[in-house]
Order: sequence, then structure tokens, then C-alpha cells
Amino acid sequence: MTLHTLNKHTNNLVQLCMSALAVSDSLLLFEDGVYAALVNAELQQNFATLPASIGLYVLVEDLEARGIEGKIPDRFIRITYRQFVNLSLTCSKVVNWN
Amino acid sequence: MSSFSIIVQGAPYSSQAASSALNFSKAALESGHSIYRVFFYQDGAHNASSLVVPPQDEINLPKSWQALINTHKLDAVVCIASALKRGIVDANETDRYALPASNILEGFTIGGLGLWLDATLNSDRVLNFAP
Amino acid sequence: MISEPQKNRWLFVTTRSPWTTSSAASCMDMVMTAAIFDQKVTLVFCNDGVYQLLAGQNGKACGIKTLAHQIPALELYGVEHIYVEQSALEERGLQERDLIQPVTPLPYGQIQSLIAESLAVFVF
Repeated sequence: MTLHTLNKHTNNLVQLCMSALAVSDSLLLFEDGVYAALVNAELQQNFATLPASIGLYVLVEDLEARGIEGKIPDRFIRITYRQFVNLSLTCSKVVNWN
Repeated sequence: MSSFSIIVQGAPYSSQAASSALNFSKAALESGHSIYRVFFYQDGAHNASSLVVPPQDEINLPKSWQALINTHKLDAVVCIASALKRGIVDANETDRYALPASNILEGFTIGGLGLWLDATLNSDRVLNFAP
Repeated sequence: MISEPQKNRWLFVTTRSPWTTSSAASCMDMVMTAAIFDQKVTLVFCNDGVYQLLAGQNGKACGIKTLAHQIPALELYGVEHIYVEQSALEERGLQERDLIQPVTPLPYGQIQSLIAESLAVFVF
């Protein structure tokens, strides 16, 4: 069970990260990675097809900074840095896609 | 309580990497966990410069790292190859290469990639913050 | 099949061209360090990282060290497995004969099991 973190929203990297997600993994979008989850963004469609078993998270601080708190689908769970710390411990390792 | 190691690969102000790494480190420590090592790699070496002067309305990232390092007695290592290439040197390297001055912030040390390997093997989790 | 992580198995995924940033070279340094310290290392070339494998590279023209010269040394350093993402080659109009040396294609989805069985995974 791996926590994947994605801090960019370039198409190639998002695709690569997606291909690396196993069914029990989690994915946290942070920094510019949060732009990938914007409702109606082309990239966002990638997340919609993921199995429900994959936990999807976004870092609140980065959403607020970018002014897009209201534009992210409900499936993404908003978490703070402290919850990010906890999440990293409930998973067996953390892989950052950058 | 768990132990973390943090890899910082971004220069201050060039990307969000150094700020994110600092925020995560603070959150981990505030939650009662420990940090085994912070390893500054590639452009991350610039976080250890004592010569950084940001505008007054911006956080001084190197000084913020230094405060965290000193408060929590953290092991903060700058990769030697990354540091030398970017002109981040301590007194030893200044002597070795006959340089006019050293500029590493007190609290940071210079070391090899073996310390990154050791950090990965000996921490519960490794977090990599890259630009 | 997803297996349990092994304590000395490391995975590196390199995704960038060797020329515009130092990221690819830094990945290579870490790969070699881990291999020198007797860790079991797997290196995967993905996305623009496949450009690192092209034969005939020479940085002299632009005054930059040629990272590709280190690729043949990976085996000497004890790097166990080297894979290339086949689709990344195809998307860039490249073929196996364009590469410095033969590299095993990584089957789609295989990266999940590589991640699962590794102690640590670093993406560059």
C-alpha cells in the first residue's frame, strides 16, 4: 500500500503516475498537482476512471493558495499537512512523482 | 512516534519544493514524530546558504530551516557534490580548495550520498520534495 | 502479482531528458551510490527519460558532460535490472536499435509490482 504524491499537472507525468497506482494505493495531489483535479479539466477525467478503492487526496494549503477550493470534485478528500504526515504513516511508503 | 527523512531538491524561491518540505517537516515534528535527517540535494543545497537575502515580505527559507534544525537538533546534511558545484562551502572545503570564504549556515553539515542511503534505510518514511 | 517489499530493493524512475536539467545526472548518482552499497537496484527509463539512452550523444557541442557515457557502467556497478518504457520510445519515434545498448522493455502495469516489492522508490 503506497502513498503516491504528485506535485505537477503535466500530462505525461499524470499518466505515468496513474499507471503506477495499484488498487489499494492512495494518491495525494499537492503543489501544482492540485490543478490536475480541477472539475472539467481534461486531466481530471483520468481520476474519474480510477477504482473506488484508491484513496484520492488534495492538500488544502495548496488549494487555498491557488484559490480553487470550490473547484475540486468531492471524491478528493481535503487534508492538511498534519494529515499528510498521518497518511504517509498509514501507507507503507511514499513515492513522489515530480 | 515514527521517524522521517526529508529530501529537499529545490532551491529556495525557485520552486515550491523547499517550502513544502519545510511545512511537512514542521507538521511531522508538531505531531510528535522525529526527523532522522534532512538531506539537501541538487539545487536544494542553496537552502544552506548564509548569503540569502529575500525581500522583507518573503520568508527567509534558509533561516527558517536553520531555526527548525537548531530547535529540534536535526541532522541537516547538504550533499557534497551538489554543494560544491553551487558554491555552498564550509570551512573545510574553503581550506581544501583555497576559496575566499565559506558560506554554509551554522547547523547544516556537508556530507556524501551515503548519508542519503543511510537515511532511507533507517527512517520509517522518506519524503522527497523536488521541483 | 503484488509482492511484499524487500529490505534492500530500490527502484529509480528517471523521466527527464539528460540535457535541460541536472535531474537525470542526479538520478544516476543515486543509482550508482545505492548499487555500490550492495543494494538491489532497478532503474526504469520513462517519458523523456528514454532520451538518456540514445546512442551517439555528445555534449561537447554544448559544453555539457555526456551522461549517456555512464549508461554502460551501470551493469559494472551492479545495477540489477534496467528497463525502458516501450510506449515512451514509440511516442518519440524511437526504436531499440537507436539505443546505446539493448534494454529490456517494461511491460505495461509492471511498474506497480516493481514499486510494491521495493523498499524505496525515487522518481527523477
